[in-house]
Amino acid sequence: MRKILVVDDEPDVVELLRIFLNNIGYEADVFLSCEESMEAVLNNKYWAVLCDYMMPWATGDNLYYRIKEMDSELAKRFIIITGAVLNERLDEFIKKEGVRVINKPFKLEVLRNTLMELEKEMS
Amino acid sequence: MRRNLFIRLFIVSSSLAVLPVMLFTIISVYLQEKGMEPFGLKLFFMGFILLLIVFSFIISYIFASKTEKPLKELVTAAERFSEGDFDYRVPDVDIEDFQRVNDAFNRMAKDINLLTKELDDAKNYFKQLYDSISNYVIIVSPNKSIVEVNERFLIDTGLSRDEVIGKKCWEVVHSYSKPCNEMGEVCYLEEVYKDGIQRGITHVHLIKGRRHIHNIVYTPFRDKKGNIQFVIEDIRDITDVAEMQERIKDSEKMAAVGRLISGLAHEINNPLAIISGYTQVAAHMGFLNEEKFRDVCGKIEEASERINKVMKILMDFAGVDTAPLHPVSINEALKNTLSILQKEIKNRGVSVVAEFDVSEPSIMAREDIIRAFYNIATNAIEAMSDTDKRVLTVKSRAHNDNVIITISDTGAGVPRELLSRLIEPFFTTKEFGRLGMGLSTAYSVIRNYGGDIDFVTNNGLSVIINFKRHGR
Repeated sequence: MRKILVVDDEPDVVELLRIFLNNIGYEADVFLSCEESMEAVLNNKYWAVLCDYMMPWATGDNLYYRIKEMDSELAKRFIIITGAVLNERLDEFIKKEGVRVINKPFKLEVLRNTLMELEKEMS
Repeated sequence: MRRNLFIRLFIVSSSLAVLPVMLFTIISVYLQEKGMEPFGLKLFFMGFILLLIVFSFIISYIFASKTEKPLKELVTAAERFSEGDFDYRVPDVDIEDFQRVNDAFNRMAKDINLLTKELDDAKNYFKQLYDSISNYVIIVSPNKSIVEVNERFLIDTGLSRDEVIGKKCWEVVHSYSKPCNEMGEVCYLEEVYKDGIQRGITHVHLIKGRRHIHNIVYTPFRDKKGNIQFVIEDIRDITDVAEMQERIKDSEKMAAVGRLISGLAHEINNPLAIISGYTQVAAHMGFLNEEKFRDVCGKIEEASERINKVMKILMDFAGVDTAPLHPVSINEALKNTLSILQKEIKNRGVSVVAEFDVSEPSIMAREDIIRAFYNIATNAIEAMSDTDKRVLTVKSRAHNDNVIITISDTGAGVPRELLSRLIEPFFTTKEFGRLGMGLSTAYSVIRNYGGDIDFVTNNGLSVIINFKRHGR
């Protein structure tokens, strides 16, 4: 079973993402901050990352760049999951790095389709 | 051929004078020899006088007939000249003396003609200069009549010269029926006439029913002795600039709304994600048991409440109260604030110290002034979440003509260098994801009612609000 790293400061959101991912056949490791998740990235082999953008102390792009340094393959399957709109910094980051974005509130279908696209790209 | 009238006159009159003298001498000698001396002498003497009279008539006639024409020409020339025909020249005459006068006259006419042309050129130069000025230039006399205006003023206002020149300035630029100072306004023109100091002001004019925002510079126009003859008003129409500034302000407002949406989206979409997520779970996966189901319903309820709170903030932000200003009791407003926050205060273990002025001061405001106190007090309560000592102090104090309200906490306080930024929209010292609108909104509400806000940090933050007291 593929393992996905989930980072969001809202406990209910990470809980929901875990339920969704389990439902469509993935294993989820959930964290409430970038700091906690960094350690997990070092010690685990993840297939993809689902990361919130606006979090206390650090934004999602910080985690992205650190992952890109360590595991550029994993960075290719980095998905931003955000409720932010009209955020210039976020828009710039998405454009520059070409990362995938899922907007909140999210649908199970959208999450499944996005992950399926990643699977197709791998094969 | 020209003849010298005076030489001829001299020759004629001297020959005329010599002739009778010779005749008289010959005749008297002859009569003396004959012995008829006395009668003859008388006769010749009378004849001599008669002759002189006749000749003087003849000479006068000749003189008159010779001088009449050139004199007439000179008079005509002088008349034409005075009528402004500087090109007219006196025609040549055959009398040298008159010709000399004519030549002098013609030379003078030529010189004056040249001078007039120069003057005309200068006038044309200044007129073009005057009319080319894109500002309006109005020259006003001490009795407030408009002496001159440039073309630009007439073109832009659509007024004719007759509607402006000689009319009173207050009639033309303000459409008033009496002078500005009688309308309760300052007459800057008068001030300049009084002290001779150039001054500039911005001022609204009403010309032909259209409102103009004018930037006016009043400059005294002095004669050589230094007396002020006129005042020159140099007027720049800044109506468009002022309107543009309004539009920029509007677009800034729009940008603020954009920032507000951007700031709030996160706070709406996150709880929406929770609501939508759990309903999807309910629809597609179901729950293990009823307890789990209730738990999820609680979460959905909580998320809805969060969105509701955002809605309230939006309402506050957009809050436009049209009710007229009226006296609002400060003590009452502070008490209401504390009662709204009662639950929050209790939950967070905060103790309250309230000291209200017994004179029950009031200010001219509306009920929404409570928004300001609510936001400041909420801020104070939240600032104490990490401290052991949690005391919220709310005070009102009447001081002279003012009412001073102090809301203090015992939190960590705010670094001094950040104090001035507290009222900036979206500035927050709290963890990321907070709106940072509380104090900014409070400030705008307080400013709206003429109040002022000050921050003091010293073991916690004190917010000091100053209003003008009503009824003093």
